[in-house]
Amino acid sequence: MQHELIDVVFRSQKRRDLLLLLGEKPRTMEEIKTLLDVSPTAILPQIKRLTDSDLVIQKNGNYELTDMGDQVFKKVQYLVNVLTLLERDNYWIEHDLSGVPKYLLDRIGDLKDCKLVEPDPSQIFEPSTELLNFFSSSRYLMVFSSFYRPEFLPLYTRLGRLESDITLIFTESVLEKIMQNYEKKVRKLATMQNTELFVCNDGVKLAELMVSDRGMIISLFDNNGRFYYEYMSCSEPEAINWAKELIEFYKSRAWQIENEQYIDNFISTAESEALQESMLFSLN
Amino acid sequence: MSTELQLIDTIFFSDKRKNLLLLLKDGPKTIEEIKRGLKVSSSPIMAQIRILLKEGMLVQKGDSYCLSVKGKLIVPKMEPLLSTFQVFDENHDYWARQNLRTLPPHLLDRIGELGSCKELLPEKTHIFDYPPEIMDPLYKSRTVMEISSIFRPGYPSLYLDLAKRGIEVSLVLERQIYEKLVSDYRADVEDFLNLKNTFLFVCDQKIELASSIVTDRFISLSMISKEGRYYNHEMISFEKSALVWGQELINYYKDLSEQITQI
Repeated sequence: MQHELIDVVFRSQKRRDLLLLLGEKPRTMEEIKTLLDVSPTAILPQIKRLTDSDLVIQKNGNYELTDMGDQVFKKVQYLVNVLTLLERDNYWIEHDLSGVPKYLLDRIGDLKDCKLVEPDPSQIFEPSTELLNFFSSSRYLMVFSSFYRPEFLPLYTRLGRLESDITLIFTESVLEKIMQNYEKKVRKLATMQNTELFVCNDGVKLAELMVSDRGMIISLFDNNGRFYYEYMSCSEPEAINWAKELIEFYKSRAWQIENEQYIDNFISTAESEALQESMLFSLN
Repeated sequence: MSTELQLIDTIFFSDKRKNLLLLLKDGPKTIEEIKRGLKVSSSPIMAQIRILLKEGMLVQKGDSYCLSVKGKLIVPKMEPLLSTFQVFDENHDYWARQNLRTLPPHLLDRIGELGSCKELLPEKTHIFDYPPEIMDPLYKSRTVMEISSIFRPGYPSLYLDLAKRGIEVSLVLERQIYEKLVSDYRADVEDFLNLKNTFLFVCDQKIELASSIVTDRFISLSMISKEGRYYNHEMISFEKSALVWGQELINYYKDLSEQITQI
């Protein structure tokens, strides 16, 4: 009896695929044939092995998972998602994941369908039109950024005016820089009904994260803290949910800039620090 | 889209590699510690270490081996899979017969924590009683908790006896079982409630399991089959992780119940 289920599930890729397929919902033989691209003679013995092992039953012309099959499926999917993620791209192991809390790292398999997007070298320092277009018609948008990207500000105000819900989280130095150059725009954003603005400490181990109903993108620093202008992108619901939860995590550790007074305070502290520095300079 | 997943062969189809990965989950180990931990000799395990290094699952740091970033992402997902498979493999027909959805979903997801289980059946002459193997650990326990949706004729005297011996007894009963106890064994129930070390809860919601006993020594489950049929049996485990699981099962139903202090 030992290792019986391991053999049933993993000794054949067809059986594994079948289990994962039926985990989504019950399927007819026709659907199984089409979706797995197999002939009945190839798949029938595998279905039989799964039914003999009490993982699958045939009901009203459909094949579906039993209670036990469903539990086996969940455990297999959990592992297979991570294996798939890691086999498809080395991005995740070559980059610093320490900005992702453990409970989301446990579910990193949700990002398995992410694709690496590398900007054209000639456009590395250009505004990322791809991203701007991708998020241009979002019904909501959540952003975490440790970069100064002024080209995104018009997107935020425009979406804000279109009554999309906007959440923005910037690191302290990014917000400071935006404030220096676009104070008016930020004041407007902070006071819009459907827009919330947050600031968090510098030094976060996450370069950028954007989520909307259209999809998500995430970019990480490499293990030496370098950044290569590339990002991972995905439009699957699991990845979108994962990214939203990561935004929520950072939001819970940030301060909200709730009204103009906060902005005034923020500016005055930033200025007085700068002032003190320059005074020290002159004294020396 | 299906990916071939070469790593599955690497992590599952050699017991040595599988056990080594699980051992290293707890932290870096030297070759001596690995040999002791897995009770193996040097040369066979070195061959497996080399394979895992090559696949990028391990890294060598000085004279220790530890999981790589990749290993750290994968190995935590192997453990719940292997423990679930082991529970099902050991009593395959039993779990296939039961309606597993009678367990609260968060505990069904962690069914692997039951560890090694054994099904016990009552003696033919005492078909309504607990199997004899259970009585000894039951009387050696310091705390006994039970949830139940079925009535066993031995209940009032057994619980009272356990409580009188100083064992802390908590019962979570479905409403109708409680009412039957009160109408048929009123004096016993009063005696029970008068003891300091007893707790009685009544649950107005359906307790989907037949019954479950959780003590500081063992857990036993008695489940109802997919066809809604029941036969007297106890599936028991003595593992530490199973006791934690059982405590959560009892708490789940306790939270749905009200405590009774007098009839």
